[in-house]
Order: sequence, then structure tokens, then C-alpha cells
Amino acid sequence: MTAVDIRLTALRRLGAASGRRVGQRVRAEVPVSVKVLTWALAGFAFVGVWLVLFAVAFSALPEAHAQHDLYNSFRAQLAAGTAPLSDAVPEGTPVALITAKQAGITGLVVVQGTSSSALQLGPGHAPGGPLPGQPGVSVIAGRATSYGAPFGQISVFSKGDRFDVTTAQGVFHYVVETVRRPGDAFPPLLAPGGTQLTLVTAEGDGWRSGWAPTHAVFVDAVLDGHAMVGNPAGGVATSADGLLRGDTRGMYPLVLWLQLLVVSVVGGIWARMRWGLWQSWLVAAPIALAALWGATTNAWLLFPNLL
Amino acid sequence: MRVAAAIAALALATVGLGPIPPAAAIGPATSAVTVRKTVQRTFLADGRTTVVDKRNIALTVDQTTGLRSLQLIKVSWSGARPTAGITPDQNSDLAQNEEYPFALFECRGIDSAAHPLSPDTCWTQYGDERFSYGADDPAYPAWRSDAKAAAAERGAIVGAPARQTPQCTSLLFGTTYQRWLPFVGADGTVYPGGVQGCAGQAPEASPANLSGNLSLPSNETFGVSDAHGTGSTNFDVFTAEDHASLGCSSTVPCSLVAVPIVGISCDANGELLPASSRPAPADAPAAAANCTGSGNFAPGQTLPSQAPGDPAVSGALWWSASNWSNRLSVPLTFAPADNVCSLHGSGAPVDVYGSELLVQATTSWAPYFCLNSHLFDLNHVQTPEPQARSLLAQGNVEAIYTSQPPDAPYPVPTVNAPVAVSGFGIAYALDNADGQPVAHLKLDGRLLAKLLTESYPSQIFVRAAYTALADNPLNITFDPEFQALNPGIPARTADAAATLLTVNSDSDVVSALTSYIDADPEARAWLDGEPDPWGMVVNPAYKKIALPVDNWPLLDTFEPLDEYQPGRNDCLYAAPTPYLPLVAAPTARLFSIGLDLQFALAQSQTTCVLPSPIPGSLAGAKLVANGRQASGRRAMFGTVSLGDAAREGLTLASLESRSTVGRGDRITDASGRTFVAPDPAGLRAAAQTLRPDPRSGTWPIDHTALRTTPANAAAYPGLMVVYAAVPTRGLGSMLGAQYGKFLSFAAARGQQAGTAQGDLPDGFLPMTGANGLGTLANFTARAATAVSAQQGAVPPLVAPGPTPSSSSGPAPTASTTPAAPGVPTGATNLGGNPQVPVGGGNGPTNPVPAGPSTRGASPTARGAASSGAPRTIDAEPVSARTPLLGSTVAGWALPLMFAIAIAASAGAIAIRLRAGGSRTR
Repeated sequence: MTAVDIRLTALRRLGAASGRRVGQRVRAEVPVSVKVLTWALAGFAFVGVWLVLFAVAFSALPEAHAQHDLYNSFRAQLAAGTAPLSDAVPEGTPVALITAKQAGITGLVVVQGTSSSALQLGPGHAPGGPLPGQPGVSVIAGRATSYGAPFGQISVFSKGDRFDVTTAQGVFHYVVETVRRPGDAFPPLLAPGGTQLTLVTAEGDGWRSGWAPTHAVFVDAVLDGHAMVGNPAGGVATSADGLLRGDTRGMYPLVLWLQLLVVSVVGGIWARMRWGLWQSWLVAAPIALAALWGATTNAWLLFPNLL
Repeated sequence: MRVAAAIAALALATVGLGPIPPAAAIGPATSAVTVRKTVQRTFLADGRTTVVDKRNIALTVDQTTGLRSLQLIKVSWSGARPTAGITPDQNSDLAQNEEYPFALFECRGIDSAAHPLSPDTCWTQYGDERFSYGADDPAYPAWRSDAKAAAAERGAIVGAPARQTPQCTSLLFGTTYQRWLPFVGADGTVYPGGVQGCAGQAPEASPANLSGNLSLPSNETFGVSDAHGTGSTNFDVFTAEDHASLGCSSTVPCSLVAVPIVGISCDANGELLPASSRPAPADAPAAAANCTGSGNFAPGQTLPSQAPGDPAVSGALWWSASNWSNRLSVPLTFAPADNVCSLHGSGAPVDVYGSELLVQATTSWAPYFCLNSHLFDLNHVQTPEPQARSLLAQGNVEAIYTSQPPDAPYPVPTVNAPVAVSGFGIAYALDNADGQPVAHLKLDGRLLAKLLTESYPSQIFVRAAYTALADNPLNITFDPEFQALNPGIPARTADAAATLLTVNSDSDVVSALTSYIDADPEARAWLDGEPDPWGMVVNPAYKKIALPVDNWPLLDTFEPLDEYQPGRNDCLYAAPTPYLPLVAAPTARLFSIGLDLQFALAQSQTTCVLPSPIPGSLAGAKLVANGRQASGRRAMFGTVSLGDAAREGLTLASLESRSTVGRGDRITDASGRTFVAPDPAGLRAAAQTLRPDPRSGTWPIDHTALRTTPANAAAYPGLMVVYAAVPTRGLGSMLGAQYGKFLSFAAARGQQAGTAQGDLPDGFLPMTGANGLGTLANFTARAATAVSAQQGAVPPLVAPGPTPSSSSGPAPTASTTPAAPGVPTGATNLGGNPQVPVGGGNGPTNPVPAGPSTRGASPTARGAASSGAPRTIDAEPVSARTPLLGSTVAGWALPLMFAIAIAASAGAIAIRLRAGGSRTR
């Protein structure tokens, strides 16, 4: 018998002595400590798998839902002519509609702001710049992996590809100039009064491609047609709007959600100890799942916004 | 006693979508249509048909041709059954629960004997207006006993889509009957609908009740008939521009369908059905009870919450065969869509930037140009007038619409050719003590100044904390001055009644409005600090403000911190902001102010919403607009253009033109003061006061002269002239000829009042000799020649020689001033090469966000090289490389999670195996 075994045996005796009624038959089963350890490891494994699945699959649902609602409201705003003419609008307000068949983008609504929380709704327009179709350089950023990966495929663009952006001022046709990665030269200078749109997302190489982006990639496109009158940019970029930055606004709710998660899990275990297995599951699991969802959503804000 | 209460409730509830335009609306009368029909309800029992109700309905629609999107048409009816169980908002989701409503719908298609209309093409906003289901046993809702329905429509499940979505399957689990009424879109798409729209709804539809929401209300209306069976409401017409799924347009006719609900005609025993489909004898009494009801409420009674009306007589079953066969339909035809030109699109458009005042006129003029193959696309790009003037001065645009001359003369010779005479109006949505719209309202400059200067504290907690405003009335409805001028309007607490909704951008309208206020001695003295006769004082932040201004500033900084507490206003607790500017909440465009007034959407941003489901959490807390005011209790004011007001059916206030009352007198009525409505007479009188000003090349409006000259008392002070400012040199021969053609048109054909393409719509005073505006039209005609010639000539405002006695059409005189010597003809084409100045130095008014230098201002990590310093274009090194913008976290987050998952699973399995192994040993 090794030292570990001796210790485990002692623990088992302790557990048997403290946790069970006298006279109850001790089933020949794994010791409590091992159970706790395996459950804890299983918990880690579950959280790991959950986060991966959340990133690549589940988070697409709230994004699709947000896009559906945004499309409906933006569509009506376009028809009524009340869509924004500058970026002086609150974060998360729809400002444009982007359609790029080559990159698998059909009618995505672009919202104002590039913070992690804005990009949970869809692609975001960088504050402080003109809207697409207005003179100057507009930047639209989108996630590469999570929340439906709206810009996951924009690096397939090549020079000469065309895509469309719709704003309150009309439909603008853009022609892709370059797909820029670190070290690539900037495109030719913009002529006075010219209009450029830069799409940004993140990408990874090799085994990372598709799920673990390491650097930003830029797609520069120039307007084919007449630019509209510009409006003074009204948006103010915060540090959370920076590319590949997290958004610490998620911290506070995250703590609260985690508390709820802990309470629901502990409560479930407590209920299990003096109640039936299925009853405990039925009551605790939905609460735990909801808390897990809320916690994950807010935790995701802390991750880099283009992920 | 009960009858009196019922009548009072009815009076409260008969208020329709919006106020009825005053009789003095500018413009020609249009076609009205009246249709009549006898409708009845019958019960079939033991082979005998009994008529239980019979009504002779007459329906009148005030305009049925040339309709445009979002236009309000007035619908009135008589002979209907009095409505019971009334809801406050006839457009809301709840309104269908009214008993005996007069339901109005917009349906695609025209009713005919060969092709009767189907409810499939009628628009409803909410899923439950086209879906009926339940879990009753026996399952005999009223529609299953409908004597007029075909046997196939009386089954337990009717119209269900072949494939159910999982959402529908779970939502409909356990139901015993379902009736699906799909909506067929203009493109043929079928939207099955279902509970909460689970099987698919048109994109315009709302899944849930949106009353109080900020979006525009829907147009299906469950109208209220009074105790005599008559009623009226305003119906909002949607065209394909604003409602693609319904798809009404100039080529797709639609109908206004009225369904006077008199109740389901019953065949409770299923005597019209094949024997096998009849209800079991035991179920027949239940079926009869569901079908033969005559209502749960008295006529005029208000619908209690959570208690819908009897389905057999409510609006919820408007689509049932009994109700649908009682319909009256009125065909509607539409004007060409506002966007017809962009769809038609031929060649490069000829752009004119500027004034929102002219939108309704240019919307009518544009199709006249773009649909004529000899003309061109005339495109009005709406921008604030001061911005348009600066664009023109910089040579960035070719032509603008403006109401004022520039501060400094344009660098190239430019004509200011009048193209339309219109103005601003103060629109209101206001209900009197009976809950009826107020038809006439009188406002003076001091009341407008009070509204604009944030001097009404709006809420008791503001007044209690803000000593400077401690003695001021809460809002205009509490103000004794307002009450003296407008007796009979009850005081109502509402943020929107403490302010005048106006635009937040630079605008000539704001300039004209503040000039009017500045010229009013009462208003000016009050602004300078003199209390009004009742002791109300100006907000100290605005004291001695210099007027006029182009852009109304929001100056108040007071924060009533006692109210900014958790549970009271969480948003303002989280982010304290001055309160009164939130009340003012100006918006971006005049047209949207009109829509807000049309539907009484209060814009004051003081309502806090907490999207976070956690109690006490302020995550995502944001202030939103107050939203729709309850019908019958509306109180809000806004600045609009007369053209928009005519299209949107708004009621406009009369403005004070003259007062002979002493400044300190506590007035009790409007005597001694003259108020003028924005009707043709008022505008015509104001037009008489226009005098040419050769220095600015315009006909300025002198508000001081309007005030002080007794002869001008009948002049509406909100008059404004819109000029097309077009350079007469440097446009090039082609563009010059096109703008010249437009000015010739604007001088003659464009001044013909009407609703056809190219006509001048309501809300504008035609520039004709009869209206005293022949000189203006004559100048525009001469300006057209100068613009076509592009020789740098600017004709004199008044033609030399005898002034034309009346506007006799364009007839441009050939005598133009010769070009200045030494000016090369056909100079630079400004249109092809917009001269955007390089770098900064354009001053704060430059509306183009410094084109070249914005390049690096984006967060693309161009580094410090881009930080704002003006750069010359040639010096920019093109060889700059994209720097690495990386993130280790992003690169490792998911791989690490995956690794942890693998490692933990492996560890767990290993430990478990090992523990098992040690046990068996």
C-alpha cells in the first residue's frame, strides 16, 4: 500500500464515520475525496467545452436575434428617412447595412461603436469617423470567431471584388483595393474628397485559422461613385472601442452572474442531499444554465472585441 | 348616472389618430367618396333564420386619389352599432378586443364581384390579430359556428401551414382549435403568422403589443362609434415606400376596407354543415353560448384591463366570414412614390443641396423632371441651410436651397432666385377637457420664448430644488398667460408640454423663429430678465440671450440630485445629466418632428429603461423618449415646416402679430392682441410686406417692421422665402442650362397649386401676381436666363422698366447684363473637380470632416504619424507599412479552454480509474 492509498483509506473512513448513519451499509464505491476531485475536474472540463462551444456556436444565436431586430428597425428608418446621417448616435444604434456576397455577408446591419458589447450585435462602425459614403475613411470592425463570426470570411476578398453598403444617404458600391496584413504597404493615398471604407477583423494562421485569431487584418475598399455630403463626426471613441481590446463594463455584471451561478450550483447540491435526484436537477439546472449564460455573455465582453 | 358616465367615456375615447386639419388648410380640395351598405347579424336555429341586428352604414373618406405615404385621410361613418369596451389607443394590439368596433384596414387590391378582396392582403401589425387558438373543450369558438363560413373554414384547425416550426409546435402544444390567417406580401410571400408570429411574419409586423413604443403606430384602426353610431378617425396610408410587404403604390392599387362589426351570424348546431362535421349534441349549448353573445360591456364603457370583449362581437374576429362579408371597401390610388426617380434613374442627377422647408415641393417636382426624357434627374439633398451656404461658398456643390443670404458674399456671382414661399409653423397635439383635439390655438412670442428657454420646470421635483424657477408654472398648460389666451385647456403634467420640439442642427427655421421672438417687445423684455405679469422669470442660463440664432443652444445645467436616486431614476443616478435639456430633446429633422406631432410621440428623454434582468443592476440602463401620449390627454408642441404640416395633417397654432396690451397687464383673454393663422390669407398678407434688398439680392423678412406697422397685423410672421442660390459663372454650359431650365420651371409651372407631378403641394403660397409675388417669379425667370448663359451676370431684383402687373409665366427677358470684362467663359467645372481645401484651416463651420486628414484618425493603428497635425498630401510617405496589431489573449483563449477541457477530462478519467483500481486490489 502506497502512502496515497493509506491517506485515501483514512479519508474514506472519516467520510464514512461522519457522513452516514450508523448501520447503513457502506457501498463498495469510490471514496468521497476522489468523487469531489473528479467532479471538480469534470466541472473544469465542462466550463472549457462550454466556452469553446459558446464561442463557435451558441453566441451566434443572440447575434442573429439582434440582427433580426436591428434589420427591422433600420429598414423602417431607411424608408422613413430617419436613419442617422452621422455617427453622433448612441452605441449600438444601426447606422448602415452591408452586403458582401463573396464574404458570405448578406444584409448585415452595422451598429455604431466597436466595443466588445457593440460587436455582440454585429459589425460596428468605429466612432469618430465619417459614415460610409461620406468623404474620408470609415472603419467597420467585425468579429472573426464568436457571435456568428460576421467578418470571419472577409479575408477571402481580393482586389477588384465589389460589395455594397447602404446608409441613409443611399447605396454605395465599394471596390476592394487591398487585403492588408501586418507588414503590407498601405493603399495609395486617398484623393481630396475621396471616400474609403476599411473593414477590420482578426485572423489566425495555421492551426489557429478559424478559431484562434492572433492579429488584425484590414480590407481597404474605395467608393465607386459619388460621395455624399459629409457630416461632422460626432462619435467619441473610448478605450473599449480600440481594436482587439476588451470591454471592462462586463466585469460588474459578471461578478453578479457568477454569484448566482455559485448559489444555484451549491443550492442544487444541497437539494440533492435532502431531496430526489431529478427534482434537484429540474430546479437547479435551469437557474444554473441561465446564470452560466449571463456570466459567459459578460465574460465575453472582457475578451478582445474582434475575437 | 350610468348613461352620463358612458357618454363621458365615449367622448374620451372617440379621439382618433390625430387632430383634424383646420378648415383653412392651404391648397385645393380633393375627391371624397361615400359608400353605403346594409349589414346584418342572423341566428340560424332549427332551420329558421332570425335577424337579430340590422344597420345601414354610410362611410365617407375625404381623399382617395393621389395619396402619398404617411398621409392622413379622414374617415367618418354613421349607422354603426355603438362601440362598447373601448380602449384608449385605437391602433394598439388591445384595440381588437373592443366590442362592435368599426374596424379599418388597408388592403392590397380592389374589391370586385369577380375578384373579391380577401383578408389575406389586409395589413395588421400584430400576430394575434390574424390568429385564433385555444385549449377549450369542447372546442367551439365563435368562428366555428359562423353561418356564413364555408364548411372547410369551420374545422377545429383551419389554415395551419404544412410544416410547423418548432417554436409553433411548443407554443401550440395542447390547443384544441387553431385558425390561421396568413398575410400575403406584395411579392407573393406567404407569412403564416401564428401565435407570436411563430411561423413567420412580415418584417414590418410586431410580435407583441407596442403601444407606448416609439415606433410609428400601425394603421389598422378599431374605430369607435358613439351612442348614435357615428364616428370618425384619421387613417394613416402606407405605401410601398414605408411598407414593402403591403406594397401599395401608383401601380398597385389598394383599398380602404371598413369592417363594421355587428357580431358573428350563428349556426351553433352546425345545420349548414354535413352531418358528420356537426358538433355533438352535448357540445351545441357551448357552441351557442360562444357565438350568440351580444357583449360584456355597455356602449361607451372603457375596456377593463385583462378583460377582453366578447369574441363573438369583438374586433378580434374581423376576418371571419360574417364580419368580412359586411365590409365596405373604398379604392385608393396613389401618387408616384417619392423615390420614383431613384428607381427610374437615368444619367447623373442634378443636385441641389439645402433647405428642408422645400422637401414637399421638390418631392412633387422631381418626378416631373426625371420622368420627362427631355429633362434630367433633379435631386434635392437635404442639408441644413447654413451648411449648404458654406458648401456653396467653398465650391463643393453647384446649387443650394436657402432662405437667407450668406454672411459674406459668395466668391462667384450667384443669383438667389426665389423658388417657393412657405414658412414655419408651430404644430401642436393638444386635447381639451373633453379629450377632443383643440382646433385653434393662440401663441405669442413670450410663450414660445418660455418653451424654448427651458424656463418651465416641467416636474415638481425640479421646481422644488431649482430656486431660480421656484415660482414658474410647471409647463405651458399651467401658465396663466397661456390659459388666458386659450381658455378651456386643462393643465396636464407632461415633460413634452414644457418645451417646444425643434431641430438640433443649424437651420434657417430656427433663425426665423428666434427673429420673430426677438422682435416681440414682451418676449424680449422677459428674456432680458423682466418677470411676466404673473411673476414667471426666464431661466438664468438664457438671460439676455442674443437672438436670432441659427442653432438653439441647450444651456441649462441644473441637476435635481434628490431625484437622481436608485429607484427613482436609475439612469440619471448612474449618469447624472442636466434635466431640462433632456426635456427639450431636439431632433434632427423637421419632418420627423411632424411625425412625432402626428402621433403624439413625446420626445423628452427622461424615461429610464433597465434592460438588465437583475434587480438593481444598472447595466445597459439608458434614457429613452417618453413615447406616445395617451389619446385624449395629449400635450406637446413642435416647430414644423408648413409643407410637412400639410402632408402630415398637423394642426398649427396662430401666432401673435401685434399687441396693444401693456406689457405688465395681467391679461384674462386675447383682446387687444392679433393672432394670425398660417392660412393663405395670412401668408398672402405677409408676402405683401416683402421688399427687395439689392445689397443681399433677396427679399428679407423684417420682423421688426411686421411688429410695428399696424397695416401688417394680418401678416403671418412665420413666412419664409426659399431661394435657389446658383452661380452664374463656372458651372459649365451643360449644368448651367440644366439649372436654368429648373429655374424657368420654378418661376411658372412649378407654382401651379395641385397634387399632380410638378404641382406645388399644399403648404406653399404660389408665387403669382394674384398673391402679390409676381416680382419674385419674374426675377426667377430672369435669373434662369443668367444661369443658362453662365456669363457671370446677376440680374437686378426688380426688372428695369414697367413691373409686370401679374406673373405671366417665365417669358425670360433677353436683356442680361454682359459678362464682366476679362472673365474667361466656360471656366473651371466646379462639379467635376470639387475644390476641397487641403488640410485644416477651414474653420469650425467646414461641414466636410476634413477629408484628407481624417485618414489616420481611425483606430487602424496608423500610429502617431496621424495624430491630427495637418499634412500636405504629397509629403505623405506611401511606403508606410501596416504594423502588427496582435492579441495573445485572442490567440490563446479558445485553445487554452480546449486544452483545459481535454486535460481535466483526462485527469478525471485517470483518477476515477485509479480509485477503482485501488478498490478492487
